Amino acid sequence: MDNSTQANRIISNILRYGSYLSILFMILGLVLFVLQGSSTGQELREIPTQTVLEALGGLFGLDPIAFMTVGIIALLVTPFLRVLGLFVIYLFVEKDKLYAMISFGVLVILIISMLIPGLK
Amino acid sequence: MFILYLLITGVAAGIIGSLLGLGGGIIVIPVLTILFHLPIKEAIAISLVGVVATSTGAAAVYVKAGKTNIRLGMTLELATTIGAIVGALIAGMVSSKILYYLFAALLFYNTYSMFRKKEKTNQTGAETAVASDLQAGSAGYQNTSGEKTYRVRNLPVGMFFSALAGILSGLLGIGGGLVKIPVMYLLMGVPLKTAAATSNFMIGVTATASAFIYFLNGSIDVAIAVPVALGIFFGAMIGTKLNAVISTDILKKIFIVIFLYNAVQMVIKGMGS
Repeated sequence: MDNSTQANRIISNILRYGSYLSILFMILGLVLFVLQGSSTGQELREIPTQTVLEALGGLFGLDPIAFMTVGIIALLVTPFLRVLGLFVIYLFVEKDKLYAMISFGVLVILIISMLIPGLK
Repeated sequence: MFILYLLITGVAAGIIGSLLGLGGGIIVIPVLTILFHLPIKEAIAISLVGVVATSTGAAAVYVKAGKTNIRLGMTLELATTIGAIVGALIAGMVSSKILYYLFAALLFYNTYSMFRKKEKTNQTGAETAVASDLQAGSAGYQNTSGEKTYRVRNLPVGMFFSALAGILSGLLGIGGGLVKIPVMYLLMGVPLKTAAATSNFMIGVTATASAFIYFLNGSIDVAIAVPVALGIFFGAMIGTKLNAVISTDILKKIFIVIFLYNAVQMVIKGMGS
């Protein structure tokens, strides 16, 4: 019972800090975007998507789109970490093999979802 | 200015979504396509980011309060994530026309289910209570033992419908609670509150699977997705607070009409595309 409460707390913290982090980056991105010159809707829609590496590099140049991209990546990685966290907890803390395997299965599916666009 | 409108859209979707017990997607997608004239595929991708934001924010509260049946959630997640990937891949292949029609059908179904619930006043009251209970994160929930008072039934059926919910999520950019909550509650014997919290926990993971595909394909326009997602996130927080204060009955009536209007608009958009 203690273990499962602890597991809940860890997962809840992953969710919380993950969302804080992504929100922080998104807000910074928006603020920079507004500060660096206002933009009409049309221009907004012609912004090319950045890759992960481009976005991380762009952070140093205070590129608003880079901040927003990192914010979205952080947001999308949080549920992934949540599943990873569950896997670790089930495997090592609760020693629950069945659910460790189930979590691992979900993890594999999520990894596949990241690889699929690259297959094109 | 454009960003401000997007932010407002997100906030409104977040507030209304949490008051009506819906994800933001069913509100965001019609607004983005009908008012902002975005192509539906872009709107779907953006909505998915919003869905992840909502689920992550809310799930942090629910999980901590111990209302989520994480084991059940993870098991069903095997089906929803595969469904989500399939849905996102199908969305890449079918024409926008079909997506508009499907979304219109979803809106009609959603309107119907809201209307049916209104008929049974009791149930509506119960659900509102559930929503505010969940969000208050309080009262009577030292449930480490309470969790064992029900037995999950019909797991294969649940897996089937979860896969379906996943496909809908990836295909149409919604969370899929519309399918999962009734299935868990009515077919699997899960208490309504637990079903809602578990569905919410799952939605983030499900939407992530398809959102990754859209994102890495370059179909998520971050400059639009960010204000909308931020808006939804904060809107949902406001909605949670409001839920305890105001009655959602009138809001539901209004939205039955708005959803119907949206559904018709989506059909028209579909015919024009």
